[in-house]
Amino acid sequence: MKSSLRGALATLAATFSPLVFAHASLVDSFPAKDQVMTGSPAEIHLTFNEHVEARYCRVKLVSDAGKNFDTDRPAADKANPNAIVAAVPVLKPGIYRAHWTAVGSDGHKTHGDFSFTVAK
Amino acid sequence: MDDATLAALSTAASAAFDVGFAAMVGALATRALLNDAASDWALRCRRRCRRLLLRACVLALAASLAWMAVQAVSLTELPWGEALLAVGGIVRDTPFGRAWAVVVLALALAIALVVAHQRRATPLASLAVLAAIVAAAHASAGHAGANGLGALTLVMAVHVLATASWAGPVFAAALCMPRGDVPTVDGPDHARRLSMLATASLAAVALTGGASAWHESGGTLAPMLTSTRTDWGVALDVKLALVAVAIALGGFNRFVVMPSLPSGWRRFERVLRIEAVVLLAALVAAAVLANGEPPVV
Repeated sequence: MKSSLRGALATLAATFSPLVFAHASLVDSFPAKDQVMTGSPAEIHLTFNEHVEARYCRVKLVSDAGKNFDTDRPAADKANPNAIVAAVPVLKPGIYRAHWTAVGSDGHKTHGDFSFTVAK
Repeated sequence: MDDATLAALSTAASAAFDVGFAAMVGALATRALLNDAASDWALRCRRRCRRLLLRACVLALAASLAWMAVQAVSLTELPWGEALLAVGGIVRDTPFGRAWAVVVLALALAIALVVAHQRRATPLASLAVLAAIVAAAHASAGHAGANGLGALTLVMAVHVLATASWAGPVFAAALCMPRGDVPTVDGPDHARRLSMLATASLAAVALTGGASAWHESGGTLAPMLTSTRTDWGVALDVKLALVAVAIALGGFNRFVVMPSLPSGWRRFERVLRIEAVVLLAALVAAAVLANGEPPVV
């Protein structure tokens, strides 16, 4: 009963707020979230649920020690308009967190982060 | 300037644009609805609508310019001065930049038309075409236009226009109807036409909004079902409540107050003014939602 009421309200809300779904969100990445890699990745590849403006996207890497690593400005993946690629420097073994900022086709920014490990 | 401040400024600019555009459409619609009325009340109402039209266009244009300035700083991460120089690149390189340029040009043209016709009849048809262009460009700047100008962009353009023609005439009525007067000749007729326009607009908002939300969400309402404990979810609930109150107020005026016109005119006006404030708050809540991030499901 409670869930059907919530469903009805959600339907009504969607009817009057159709644009609220419209934001770029991460659907796939390389390295994947929590992936343990045997060596440093050469690049970070992010795939979103919609077209993103690669020129205005950002990817930043931070080690578990708090050190920032510069990545190159992301470029559009020529094979997939929903994806961007950022080259990264050679990473020593450790845990890294990738912070991404994506800009959707409507100019809205979205943010997110995920961790991966470079094993010894 | 940090991301949170820029996001707040962007939301404020979006809300100001939505209010300005709604008031523009409302002033145009009210002016058209009163076109044949000849009473002193109607003439004063039309004069006020003309002033509202100009102010609304200026507000929408100023809000659009402010929005792009904030976008430029946010996207380039440069100081204001340098970021503003990047606006040309944003317009050239992005679909939302090109759509923004069309909105700005159409609004500037609308202002020029209104100013040029200060002492002549307002060119309602030309201004209505410009309002439709603004709505279409605004819709194409969103996700509906990401894959070109297809059916979804058209649906969203109708949604933008219908939202404005629901809220706008209420704003125009609250701001332009001379207070204290009881318009026995034209008032009840105008109230009936206003109510019909609001009902038709509301139906269009619901139809286009429902169709577009279903398409955008891929047939799932999961973000809305799981969002009650986030700030975004609270904003959604607040907006939904405001929309429900506005519909209830409109229904009260239509079915309870209107049958008693013209004697119930003051009550009709009071309810309209409350409805205008509620719709204003709903537009602000809509801007907060559109600029916020829905919860990841």
